[in-house]
Amino acid sequence: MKAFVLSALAVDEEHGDAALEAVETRLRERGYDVDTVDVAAARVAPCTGCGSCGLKTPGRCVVKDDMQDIFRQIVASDVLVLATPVRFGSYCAELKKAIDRFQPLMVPIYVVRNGEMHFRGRYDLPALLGVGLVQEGGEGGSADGEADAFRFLIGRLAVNIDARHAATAFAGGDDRLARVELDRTLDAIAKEAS
Amino acid sequence: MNVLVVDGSRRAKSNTGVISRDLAARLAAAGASVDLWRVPKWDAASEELDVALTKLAACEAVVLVAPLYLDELPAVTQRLLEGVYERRAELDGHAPLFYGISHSGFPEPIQRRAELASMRFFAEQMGWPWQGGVGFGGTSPIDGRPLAEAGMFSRQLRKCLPSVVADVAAGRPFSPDTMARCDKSPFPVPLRLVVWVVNAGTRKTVRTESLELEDRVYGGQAPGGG
Repeated sequence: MKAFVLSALAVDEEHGDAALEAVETRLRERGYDVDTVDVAAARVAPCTGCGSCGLKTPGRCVVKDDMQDIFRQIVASDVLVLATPVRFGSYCAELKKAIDRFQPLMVPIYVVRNGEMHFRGRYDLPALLGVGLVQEGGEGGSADGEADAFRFLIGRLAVNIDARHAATAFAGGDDRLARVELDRTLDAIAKEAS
Repeated sequence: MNVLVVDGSRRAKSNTGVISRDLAARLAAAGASVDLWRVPKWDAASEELDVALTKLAACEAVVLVAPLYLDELPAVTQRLLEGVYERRAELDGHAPLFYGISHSGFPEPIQRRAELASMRFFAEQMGWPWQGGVGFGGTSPIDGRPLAEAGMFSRQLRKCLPSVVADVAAGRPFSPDTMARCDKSPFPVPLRLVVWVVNAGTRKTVRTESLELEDRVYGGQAPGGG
């Protein structure tokens, strides 16, 4: 089994490395081969919304950068981990830059999924696991509120790209609780796969 | 009222730009002093942050107009918000009113919920009064045209922007009525019919141009393992 980790955790200089190591260790303990790309260090340009991947070069992004290999890694994996410091309840900008480029993973034909309008999936995508590093005690913010918002967001992404499973785990803060949640979500992914 | 309208898209001929310009013109007509500013390119984000902070320090209200990229703000817009937050001390406690507008081609309001929540979290963490967010669906067919020229596809925007402008110009939060009226599907037919009509146009293009729409150029298998 292969887990592909698309990580922007390095953006958090204080907790990022430890959080990523914890996630990778947990995955390896469960038998996954783990490949990680640090999106902040990778060569990933922002999506320009050119639309080429829709009807000009269907399914192919015309921007020649590290996303070409990232796409191959995503479709070849069993679990896709999106790991990020949570910023305003969302992915940090560095990870979002890669996610904005996900459009080639979909066919420009609309379907009704979950009673909503979405693009049809192009690939049999891996299970989706979001790992959000939530800042405790941030100014004016609510860590619980941001965690809930991030969970909601990962669920939305799964519906949007037609991933088989959505799950979310949290590193940081109370490390023991984060590990429990990570284990629970990996259990759910294993059950879904079997 | 000095209002900064932030166009949250870098896409060429974007509908976000169309909505932002229309909103700015309406606000000016309502007596507001309006500064319309476009979110900077990713590579220029650091230098342009100085400009953003100067503009934010000079305004009493901010309206962020953003498209939806995979459920959320585009990365360039997210980066701007993160940059402003990191340098918030330079605003010396200045706290403009903050309004959000999210739009996308998808008609359902739930598709815009995460993005509007992010705008709210940003305002709260900045210590700025969150004045509410409104969404607009089904905006793709506007296709970069001025709202007045986009016919039925801009009807919902043209109908609701006066309420949006009235709330912003008065410096009051979006009313529940404004928020409820904005985010309604502009398509007066069942969703499956909308999907069928849009797909018919796409399939015609595919036939005409002999496109291989289902190509899986990055390997892998089709959904369902086929």
